[in-house]
Amino acid sequence: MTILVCDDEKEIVDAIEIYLQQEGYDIKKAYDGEEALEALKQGGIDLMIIDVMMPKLDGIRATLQARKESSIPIIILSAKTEDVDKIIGLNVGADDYVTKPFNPLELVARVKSQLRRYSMMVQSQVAFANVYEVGGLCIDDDLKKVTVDGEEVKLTPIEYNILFLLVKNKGKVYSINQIYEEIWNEEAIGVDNTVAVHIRHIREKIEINPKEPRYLKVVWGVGYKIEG
Amino acid sequence: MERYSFGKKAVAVVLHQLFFISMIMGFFTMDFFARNENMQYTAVYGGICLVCLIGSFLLLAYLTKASGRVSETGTEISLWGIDRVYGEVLTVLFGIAIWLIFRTVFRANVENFSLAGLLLVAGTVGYVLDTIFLLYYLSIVRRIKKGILFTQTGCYHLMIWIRKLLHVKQDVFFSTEEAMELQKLIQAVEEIADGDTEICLNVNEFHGQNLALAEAINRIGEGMKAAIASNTKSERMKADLITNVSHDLKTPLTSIVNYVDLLKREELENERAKSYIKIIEEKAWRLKQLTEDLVEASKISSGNIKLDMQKIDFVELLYQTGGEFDERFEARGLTIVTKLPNEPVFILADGRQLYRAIENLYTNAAKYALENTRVYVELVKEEELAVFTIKNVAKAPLEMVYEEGGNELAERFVRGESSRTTEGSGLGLSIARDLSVLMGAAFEVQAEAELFIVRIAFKMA
Repeated sequence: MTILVCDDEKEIVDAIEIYLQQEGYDIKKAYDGEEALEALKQGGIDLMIIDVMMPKLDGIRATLQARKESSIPIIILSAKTEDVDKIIGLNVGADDYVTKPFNPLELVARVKSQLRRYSMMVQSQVAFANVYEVGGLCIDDDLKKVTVDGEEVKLTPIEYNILFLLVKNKGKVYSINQIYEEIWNEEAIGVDNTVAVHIRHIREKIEINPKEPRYLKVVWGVGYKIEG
Repeated sequence: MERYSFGKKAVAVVLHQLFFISMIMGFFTMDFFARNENMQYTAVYGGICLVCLIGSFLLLAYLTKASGRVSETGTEISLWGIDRVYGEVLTVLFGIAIWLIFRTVFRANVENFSLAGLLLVAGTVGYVLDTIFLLYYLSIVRRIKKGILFTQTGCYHLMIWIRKLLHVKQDVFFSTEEAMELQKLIQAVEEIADGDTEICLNVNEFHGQNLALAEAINRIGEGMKAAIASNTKSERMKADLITNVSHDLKTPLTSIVNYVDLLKREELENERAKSYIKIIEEKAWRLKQLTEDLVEASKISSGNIKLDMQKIDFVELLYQTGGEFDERFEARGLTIVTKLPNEPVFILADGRQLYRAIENLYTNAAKYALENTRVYVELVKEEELAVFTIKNVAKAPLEMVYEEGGNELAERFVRGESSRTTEGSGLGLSIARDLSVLMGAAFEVQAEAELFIVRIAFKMA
C-alpha cells in the first residue's frame, strides 16, 4: 500500500513517513498541492494525507482537483480547528479531517480505518437480514458482533444493547431516561450518570477520537444519537 | 372583621324616617293648633316636634358614620350606583325635587285643611322629602369618604379631556416653525443617545441657528458610526491576529510533538533523559491547549461566535456531563455529589456551547480541587430561574484579583497561586463566563478562602 504525504513543512512529512513505514506502508512525499496532484497522476497511490495551508496550490483546491479523477481516501491535515474549516474540507471531498498538532497514533489509526473501509467498499458485501450498517460501523445482531471498519469491537451486553438501540433507530435522539427505560425495562426514577458513563465507554471503544465522535453523537441537553 | 348587617342600617333609616315624618306631622299639628289659638296643644306638639328633631339628627349622625362602610372597623368604602352619577347632575336633580315639593306645599291652601287631611299631607311630604334628602346626603357622604367628591364630576372630566387634547395637539396648534425645527433636533439627539447612529437630518429643513445645530448633529452621528465601525474592526482584527498566530504556532508544535514521540520510541538507557522527554511532551500538549483556549477566548469575547439557541433540558445536560467526567474525578479521589430535580428543567441555550461552559467548570474542579474531597453540583429552580451551582474545595487558597471599582473577578489568567505550574491555561473560567453571558445567563464566581463557587442562572423556557 502506498500513501502520499503532502505538507510544506518537511519535518512533518518526515515524521509521518517514519510512523507509517513502521506500519508497513510505502510513502511518497510532496511539498505543495501541485506536486501532490503530479504524484497522483503517476498512479499507484492508495491514500493521500494533505495539509491545507501550502504555497502554490492549497490543500482544499488540490483535494477538489484530485476528486475529479480519483476516489482514493483523502485525509486533510490542518492547523485550522474551526467547524467551518472541517465542513469545507469534508465538502470538497475529503474523507477525514485531522487537526494539528495531531497524536501520531490517532493519525495511524485513521489511515488504517480509511484503507479498510475503502477496500470493504470495493469488495461486494452480502447484506444479511440482521446486519445494520452505519458508515464503517457494523452490527450483526445474530452473532451479537460489532465491527468498526472491519475490526471487531468487544462490548459488554449493556453497551451492546444501547448501541444496538441507537443504530437500529439511526438519526433518532434518545434521552437518558428513554435509554434507561428501553434497556433496563424499568421506569427511570432518580437515574444517575450510569447511562452517560456507558455511552462514554461505547464511544471509547468504537471511535478513533472519543472526543470528536464520528458515529455516536451527543446532543447536549437532549440525548444521544447515531449519525450515519 | 365584623360586617355591618344590612338590617342595622335599614332599621336606622326606617327609624330616622319615622322621626322625621313625626317631626313634620308634629310641626303641622302645632301650626294647626297655633292658628286655632290652642296654646296648650301647641306647646305639647312643639315638644314632640323637638324630640323627633333630636332623634332624627342622632340617627342621621349614625348613618353618616356607617354609610358606605363595609365593616364596623375597616376603612373600605363601597359605593352605590347613584354615587357614579356626576356630582353636579345629582345636585341639580336634588334641587329640582326639593323645589317641586316646596312649591306644591306652599301652593296648597293649608288653612282650609282638616286636621286629618293635614296629617296625611304632612306624612306624605315628610316621607318623600326625607327619602330624597337621605339619597342625596348619604351619596355626598360616601363620595367624601372615598375621596371622589370633586373627581366624580362632569367639570373635572371635561378639564382632563381638554388638557389631553391640548397636550397631543400642542405641536400642531401652538408651535411656530422654529419650535418645530427644534422639536426635530431634540428627537434626533434622543435617537443618537439611544444608540441609533443611522440618524441623518435634512439640512434644507432648518434655518439660522437650528441649521448649524442640525449639521453638528449629523456630524456626531457620522463620528459615532465611524468609531463603532473601527472598534468592531479592531476587535475582529485582534481575533483574526490571534487565530493566525495560533495557526503559525501549531506548525512547529506539530513537529515538536511528533519528534518527542519518536524520541520516546528510541531505546534510551538514561532514566533522566526519559524523564526530561516526559516533561517536554507534557508541556508541548499544554502549549497546544493554551493556543486553542486563546483562540476560543478571543473569539467568544469579541462576540465572533454563532449561537444555535434551542429549548434544552438542563438536567439531561448535567447527567451527560457527569458521564463524561466520572473517571476523571475518580482518578483524583474526588467524589461528585449531584443534586438535580427529578423532572426536566427547560432553558433556552445552545447545548454545545453550554456544555463547553460547564465542561470548563468541571475541568477546573477536576484539576484544582483538593484530593479526596467532594465536589457539589446542584440545579435548583428559583421562581423563573434555573440556577446551576458547582462548589469545590481548592488545593490552595485562591488568589483573587479585583477589577477597579468593582467586586467582579478579573478571571482571565487568574488561578490559585500554586496551580500556576500545573496543566491548564486559566482561561477556562473566562470562557465559561463569556459563553454563559452570551447566552443570556447570569454568571457569578465566589471564592472564600479555599471554597470555590460558580453559579450560572438561566431563565427557564
